[in-house]
Amino acid sequence: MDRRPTLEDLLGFRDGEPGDPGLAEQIAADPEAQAELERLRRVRAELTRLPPVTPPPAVWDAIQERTGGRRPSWLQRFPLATAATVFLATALGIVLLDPALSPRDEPNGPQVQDPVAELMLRSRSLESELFTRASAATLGSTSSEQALLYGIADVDAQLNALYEAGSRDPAERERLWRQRVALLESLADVQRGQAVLRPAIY
Amino acid sequence: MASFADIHLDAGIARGLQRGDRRAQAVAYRLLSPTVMGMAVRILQDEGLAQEVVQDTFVELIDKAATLKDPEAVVGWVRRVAVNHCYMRLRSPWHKRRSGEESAPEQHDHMSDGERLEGYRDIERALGALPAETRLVIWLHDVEGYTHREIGELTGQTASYSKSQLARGYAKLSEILRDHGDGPQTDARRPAWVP
Repeated sequence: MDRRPTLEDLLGFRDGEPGDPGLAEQIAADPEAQAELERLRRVRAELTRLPPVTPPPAVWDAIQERTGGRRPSWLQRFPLATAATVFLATALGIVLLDPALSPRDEPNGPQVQDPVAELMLRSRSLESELFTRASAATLGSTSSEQALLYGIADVDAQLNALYEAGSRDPAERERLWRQRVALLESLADVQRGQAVLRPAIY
Repeated sequence: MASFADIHLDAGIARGLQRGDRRAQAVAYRLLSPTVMGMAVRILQDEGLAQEVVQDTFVELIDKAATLKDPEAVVGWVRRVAVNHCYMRLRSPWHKRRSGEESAPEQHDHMSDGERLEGYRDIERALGALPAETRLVIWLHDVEGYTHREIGELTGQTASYSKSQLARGYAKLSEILRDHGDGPQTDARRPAWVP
């Protein structure tokens, strides 16, 4: 390089862009270029240190107004869960119909060998209990129920992703199904507790 | 400044956004809006327009979150949408006319030699003195880590154009920072968003 480095050269050097092979030596031998490079680095550091700016509360109010501030029903809030439930119900149906995959009858009565299949059965049984016509009307009316429903929706989304990706990781499947059953059991406990309390209130 | 690269949005919040959950939307807004606003106000140099960018960006996020394929990509998606909204406003004839009327270098021409800019306020105000598109290039390149090629794609120009804008911007910044490095800070010329 037979000329002094330009500002563009120095910026490229600062940002690690490929440039003239002789540029580094030239900067090293030129105190003025070194000082300029240092200044460029300092300015960039100052720019990145500029603080964030919090918008006034009216902005969030306007966003809520534009996107509809009303609260959707819990079924609308869990579209993924609904889709996942349909998918999982299909998967469960396949498991139960496939003699190679389904729980086998053993001499001492029905025994479930695959832990995932067992968890699926438990999950289905809990869902039948929870999503009856009577309980569906009140399901999700308390914050603890909502938190559990969010948890179930999260697990369903993860299970859906796992099946869609064709993952064969049995440990991960078991972990998620176990989590789903635990959440459904907690939800059933909350529902039972409310059913006991309700007559006492009225 | 928290650039978008520094923000981590929990996967549960991202999934909540996809479900249309209002609480997840509020959390995402609290987490991301100061960075969107910070970027927009520095690029546009107009608090009202910056608020519009925040509003439009989050309305779009809420409307389209369900279609996002990768919840991990929410922060990058918000950044891209916010940058596009900033750029659209920079390109609008109204903004161009207004920028032309309020030529930033002139603002600094009538600052007294005694005015001092301290800390980040120096750079904040120096940035405001640059032409709009140069500000955009500097911000996207130096703060958000865009490459010259990406900036070229956004602006419909070449990577060389972005490089030359960056160099031109730095030359101007040096000039302003050198010229106004002495004297006391006054609030009169401080942008509204500077505390």
